[in-house]
Amino acid sequence: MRHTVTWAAATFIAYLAETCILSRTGTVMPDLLLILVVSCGFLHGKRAGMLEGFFAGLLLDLFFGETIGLTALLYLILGYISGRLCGIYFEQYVRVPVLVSFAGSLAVNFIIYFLGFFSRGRIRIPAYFLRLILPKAALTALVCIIVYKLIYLVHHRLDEAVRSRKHTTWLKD
Amino acid sequence: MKDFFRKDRHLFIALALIAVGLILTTAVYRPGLGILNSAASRLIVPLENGINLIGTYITEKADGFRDNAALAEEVRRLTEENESLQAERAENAQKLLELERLTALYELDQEYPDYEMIGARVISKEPGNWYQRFKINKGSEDGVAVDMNVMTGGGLCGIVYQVGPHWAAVRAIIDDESNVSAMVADTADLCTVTGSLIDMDDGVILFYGLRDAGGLTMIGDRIITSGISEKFLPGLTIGYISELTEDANNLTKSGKLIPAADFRSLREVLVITAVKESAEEEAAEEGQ
Repeated sequence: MRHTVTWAAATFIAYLAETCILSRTGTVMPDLLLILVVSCGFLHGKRAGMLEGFFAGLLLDLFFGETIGLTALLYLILGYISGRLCGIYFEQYVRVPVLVSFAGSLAVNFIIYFLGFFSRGRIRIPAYFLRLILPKAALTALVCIIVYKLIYLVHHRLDEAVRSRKHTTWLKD
Repeated sequence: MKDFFRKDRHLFIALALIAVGLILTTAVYRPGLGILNSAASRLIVPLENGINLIGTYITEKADGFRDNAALAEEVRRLTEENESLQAERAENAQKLLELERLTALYELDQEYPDYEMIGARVISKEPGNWYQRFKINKGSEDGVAVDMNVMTGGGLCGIVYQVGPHWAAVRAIIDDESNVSAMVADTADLCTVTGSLIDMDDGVILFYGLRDAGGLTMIGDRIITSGISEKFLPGLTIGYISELTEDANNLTKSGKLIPAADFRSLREVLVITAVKESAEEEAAEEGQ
């Protein structure tokens, strides 16, 4: 429950940060919500990753998208994939979510490019790749290092709180 | 464990189906989008408004501080004024910035006296770099409707494509999907202006299909919205030609133009509260 509320709050904050503050800069932005989706899957497993991915994607789609559901679908798949890595690697291994974020950002943005731009005759793939897709993925990976550490700290705190409560009940019994 | 796996898989398929269903529904049935949109916007728009207020406050404060630093140095060097006076000046500098912006907007209002406009604040922008769309804090209850033209700092800025009670979504003319029917102000030769994601970094947008039969069009010419556009009101400045090349077909020309509106610092915009059709009807009635 605590985890759910924390993730929902984090998603909202990331969304607002992206639309209201980061987008003011007018340069390439990191995919904050994508980082959250990957981290959630990696820490909590497939189920949580999928749900986080679906709702975070839906949030992005709802407010500007003219076709709702594409980002939801892409983030859902990403959450599932990163959820499969849960339990395989130690949670402290920052490099795993960072790599997944990098690859995920590349893949998601390539798909958006192909569906929204390539299909309309904007076929200068190298230009789009070098100017937007690659910098975006690299920035996302960089930001992921910081954001994941933050998420990991909060996650650990929450887990500890739950564990200590359980511990006391067990002692009382 | 196996059960869990199955369940996960089921959930995955269910969510994926919902997503695909939504894609198909909204691609085919546009009004459905509006319903979903306005329901969700009730929650998020007040938040965005709040964040935006903080954001504006911070940027204005930052501008103020920058001025303050320069002023303080001068003050220390020349008159050694006391601190209270410095604070007062910083505050004034901040007010002045706002005044300058608003005066610029007001002058723009004077330039196009025929159209009634309402001012609005930009509250959020599309995340993710791919599209140039933003939301403003005025909606249907303030008189904003779909297809209304949006102006800023001297030129056409975009067009409203979605509207809620207290917000409206605007597609900027620099958006890759934006197409505006335009003409060269001096020669009235028609062309189409389109945004381009790749050229946006250089601060230019593209135009094509200019049939410049007389060869009179030159770099620096003003491009305005044409009279034959379905959605854009005629005579609004779009920008100035910066590059002009002849197409391979030897019939038309294309090139780049620098938009008159400043898209880097988009804070306040003006919405023209006349939609193309209604504006023409009014003009016709006045003519009679």
